[in-house]
Amino acid sequence: MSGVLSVLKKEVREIWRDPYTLGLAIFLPLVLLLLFAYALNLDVKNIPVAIVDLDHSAESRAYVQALANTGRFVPAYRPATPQEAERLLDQGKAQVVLIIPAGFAQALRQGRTAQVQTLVDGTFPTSARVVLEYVEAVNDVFTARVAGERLVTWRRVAGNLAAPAVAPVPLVRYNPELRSANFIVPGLIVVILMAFPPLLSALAIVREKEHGSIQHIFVSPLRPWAFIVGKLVPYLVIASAELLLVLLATRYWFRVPLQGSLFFFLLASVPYVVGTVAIGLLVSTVTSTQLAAMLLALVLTLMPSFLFSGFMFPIFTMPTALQLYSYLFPARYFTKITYDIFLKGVGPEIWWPQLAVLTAYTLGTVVLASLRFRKKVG
Amino acid sequence: MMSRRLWGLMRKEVIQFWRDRALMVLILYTFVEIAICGWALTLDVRNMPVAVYDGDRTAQSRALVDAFARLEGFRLAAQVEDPSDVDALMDAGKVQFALIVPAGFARTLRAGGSAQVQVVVDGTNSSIAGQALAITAGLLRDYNEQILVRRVERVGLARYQLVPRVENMIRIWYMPQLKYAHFIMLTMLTISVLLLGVLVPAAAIVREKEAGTFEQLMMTPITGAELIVAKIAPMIALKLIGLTIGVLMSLWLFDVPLRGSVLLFYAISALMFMSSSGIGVLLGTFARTMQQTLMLAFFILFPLAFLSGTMVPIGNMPRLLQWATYLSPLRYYVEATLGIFLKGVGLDVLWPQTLALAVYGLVLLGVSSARFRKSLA
Repeated sequence: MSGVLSVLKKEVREIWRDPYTLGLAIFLPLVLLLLFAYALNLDVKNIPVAIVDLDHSAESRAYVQALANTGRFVPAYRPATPQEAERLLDQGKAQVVLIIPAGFAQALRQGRTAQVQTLVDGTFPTSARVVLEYVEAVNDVFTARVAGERLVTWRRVAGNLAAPAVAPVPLVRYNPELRSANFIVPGLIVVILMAFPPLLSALAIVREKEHGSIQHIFVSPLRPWAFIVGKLVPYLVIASAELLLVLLATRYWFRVPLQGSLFFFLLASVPYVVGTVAIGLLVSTVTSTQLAAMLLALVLTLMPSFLFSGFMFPIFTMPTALQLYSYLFPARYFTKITYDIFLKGVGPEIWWPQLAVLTAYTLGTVVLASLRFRKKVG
Repeated sequence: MMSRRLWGLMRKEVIQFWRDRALMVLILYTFVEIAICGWALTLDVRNMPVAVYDGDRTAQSRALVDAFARLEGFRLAAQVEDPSDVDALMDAGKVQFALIVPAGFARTLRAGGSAQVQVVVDGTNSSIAGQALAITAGLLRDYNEQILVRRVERVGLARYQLVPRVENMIRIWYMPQLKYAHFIMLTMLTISVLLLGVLVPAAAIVREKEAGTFEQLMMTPITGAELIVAKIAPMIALKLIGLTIGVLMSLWLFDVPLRGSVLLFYAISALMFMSSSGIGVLLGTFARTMQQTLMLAFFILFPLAFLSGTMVPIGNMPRLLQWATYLSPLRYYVEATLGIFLKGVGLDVLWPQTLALAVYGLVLLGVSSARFRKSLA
């Protein structure tokens, strides 16, 4: 036990000596959370539209107004020709081009089908799809309005033809306003915890290898597990501080609702936080240079926790092989627990399997790190 | 004379680089990871587990439910007998979306009324939820259109053609199939270029600082600029190989179109390597230990990567962050890459981006070589 303490004391002193890194380690996650939560906004709004109105009529202006009234589109440019509009699309200044040809109003007044043309920038497919839906909905609403005036005279025979035959009543659960932040911010807690603690702890042992001071440990009577635990604890404290700061920001800055119990969330985060530090240590035992350690930590922790945890990219959309691959990373389990507690407000009866796996994972990593370390001693 | 010095330094760097095999493998792996992303990751609705409840049990309701379950992107996961089962399934995360058709659906339709159906969506992932709602709205639009035509015909209004309507001819440009894979392949490629471009030179410099070999180099007549060139050139060569692997994979495995000039892409990529190495070297002059390098690198890399339009469109960000994106070299590189590959535009459109990258790179490399000697003095 005294072995653990002396390793711990030494590690704390080493961290303390570099307050620069310590400060960054604790406040960087907070800064990044603030930045990302604002930057990672997937809501589709304020789409710049270039409008080529070749008709110059009250009707064509009404059509443009219908588009602007959705609040999603901003008529940002009014080029004179379709060619100029296409150039705006090429330059990425406009994302949608609406071309209303001459004769639009005349066709409507004569009861014919009037045509408009829309060009959508498909470069970012996710937004493009939603943009398409809005464009079509606007067209529907406008058509219903002009058609409605004529249909009114027929209503006696036909009933209300302007009303839709099947009207969907949407019910959005867990995140009723479909607020992007409610989903991005809790997900970022998982990612940020997986990003920083392992990067710090990954250097903890490999640094001594590079400097050669590891030889002193080898010849000392220190047990491998004592060495690992002594290295683990200081980084655990840093990681917990990060968690608390990020959690406070989530609740009080971003006002993400916490539907479930805070106690359960803190309970579930214990194995995750320990796990993040332990993965770093494991990386540290298998690499021999700090640079390699940091890249390996990156590949093992940050990238999968961002890409394969179900945070940005839902797991059910992945190919089966990748769905299985995602089981390898603890972030997947903790992401599920986080959303379950924050947004769904469900209890342990739903997420206990994830918690069990997470705990086993963490214990396994610590044991593996000790074993790997012993091999090096021998 | 100078070139011989430079040559000797480069040889040293290559040898040092070659010794750290793990590092080389990891650099190449970063580009392979792109392939995985292109294959696996999507922000689109795909394979989404849905549940249906048909409380009407008529031919019409079955037709609607079937059409819903067969929609592209949806996978029928459960057919429930009781609408309240949907809640439990959703709580457990087994389904993300549900359509509930109440009893009396067909009767209302036959009477010419407006029938209501309920769509329940798990809003946790707001982007996916919004798209799923849009897909369903599209289905119902087509469905309603058919019914409307039938209703109009039934009451003998053959003059339906005379109803004024607006037909919107929508064309999607650059990526008509809206393939997310193409987008993510290209953006991951640009992120890898930034990541490696910054990390590797920074680490190489700090390693010499930590090992104390820098003082030795400083006693030689080598200038700061020479040292930087010698450190960066071999890495850029290796990274260009990695980049080529990434590009070839995109083209062959994922059919990403290359509509513009490859030459222009490589020229702009070289500029991007220059800019990112400039950031890396600058970092290296500030940091004293590897740990500091890392923290600083992440402090800089994350914002640069996110404020670039790779993860989310720049137009979605608050105004302040939109301005901040002009500070990220990745923004220009992403615009140029997407422009060359997908839009097929050339230098006549992309000259501002190219110019920005060139200025960025020159200024950074200038500043960092000036700081170089000072940081050691």
